Amino acid sequence: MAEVECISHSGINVVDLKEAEDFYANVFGGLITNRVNFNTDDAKRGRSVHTSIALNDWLFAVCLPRGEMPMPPEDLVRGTNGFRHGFRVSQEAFGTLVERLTALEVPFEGPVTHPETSPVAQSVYFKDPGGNFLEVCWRRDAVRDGIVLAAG
Amino acid sequence: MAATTWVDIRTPPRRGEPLGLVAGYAGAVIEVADLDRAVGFYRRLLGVGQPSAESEGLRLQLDSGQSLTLTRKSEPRTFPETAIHRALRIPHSRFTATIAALEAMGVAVDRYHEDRDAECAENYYCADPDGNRLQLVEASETGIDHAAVETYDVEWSEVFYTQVLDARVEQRVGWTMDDFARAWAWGRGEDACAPGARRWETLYTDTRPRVPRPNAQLYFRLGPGVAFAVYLAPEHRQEPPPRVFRGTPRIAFRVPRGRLDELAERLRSIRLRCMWPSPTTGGPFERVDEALYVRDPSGNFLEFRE
Repeated sequence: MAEVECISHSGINVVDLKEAEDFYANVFGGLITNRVNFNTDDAKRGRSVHTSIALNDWLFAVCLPRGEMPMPPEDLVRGTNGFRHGFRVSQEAFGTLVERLTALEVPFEGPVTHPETSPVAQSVYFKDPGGNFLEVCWRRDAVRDGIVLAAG
Repeated sequence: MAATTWVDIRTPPRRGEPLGLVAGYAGAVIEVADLDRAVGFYRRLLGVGQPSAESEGLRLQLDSGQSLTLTRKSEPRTFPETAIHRALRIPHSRFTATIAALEAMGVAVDRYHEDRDAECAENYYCADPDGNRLQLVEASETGIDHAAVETYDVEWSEVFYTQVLDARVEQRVGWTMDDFARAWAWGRGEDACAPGARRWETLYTDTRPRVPRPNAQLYFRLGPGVAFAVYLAPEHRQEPPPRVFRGTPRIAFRVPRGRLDELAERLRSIRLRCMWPSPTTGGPFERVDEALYVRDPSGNFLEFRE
């Protein structure tokens, strides 16, 4: 059995690479690290078309799908379109992120307060422009118990 | 002298209106094998007078004040099968007659289209006797409307044209799912696209021998009404040596009076790691007779003069 240490990266489909790059840069402060199949060598090798975005030490690849991509209802901001990515931030950064979503006019649900028994205190739910569901939360156990959470 | 700033795709894009370092096209230098034949073709096409001789060849003066210089090469670099082209303005008064005259001369006038929204209706294309591809644009006077070049790396081109020359990206092609969906129509023979706008690609993750794809393109706005296109080169072509800054074919831009030094300083101080500086200027350019000769990251020759 493989001894998995952590999740290294995700690849998600989007409908517009530039729009997605801007979204993850503006909302999450993501850093664009490279684009694939925008140079001659990649084109000759038939590589997939995607952009890699670093979110702290999480690598996020936003990819253009080859065919049609099912989109969730426009007014649905909390759900799954096959999956949902959840990101953890500090309690302080959580408030900042909610303010940023409001300023950028990104529709969101929340903050939703979770039961006391949950290690997750609060979450907000929203979508990227490609219809991918996202959640950002802060952990009450980290605050309450002084747990030092790994960056990854 | 300003401190050096290194830029790449991680550098935040510049916002607002461009600095206005490019006021328009000053001209173009193209390579031809037979000067007399080319002069005859362009004089008929553009309705211009006799050319004047200059060091690089024969110069045709256009109504707009721009020039088209024909330089003789035994094996001219014309790239007729690629997206590389120059768009020439033809006056309204004789546009239709010009198209008819070209066809009467046996010159094929193609009606395929590019992807830039602003050019959808400007789809008249032909080639000169050497294979230089031309787009014919209806306008008030003869002149150079825009040009398109190839790049081996779209990202570095975007960085150079936006960060150094302060261009704005007007339109991107090849960044969206819709672009890829449209490519399939081209692959089925249902969409006549300009050369270089689409390509066949062999995917290592697909059992089909090849699939149609959009070829990545960037349309820049270098200044008010100054459009310039960069297409991904689907094949490598011979590049000039890295420290050759003046060559042909070349696109010349006009810089507002008194601002050439400002542009030279930007070229010196805003640097890309993929571009070699000239030992004489410290930037990817040389200065000759009050003109800057620049080589972009893919080896395209540019000229800037007031």
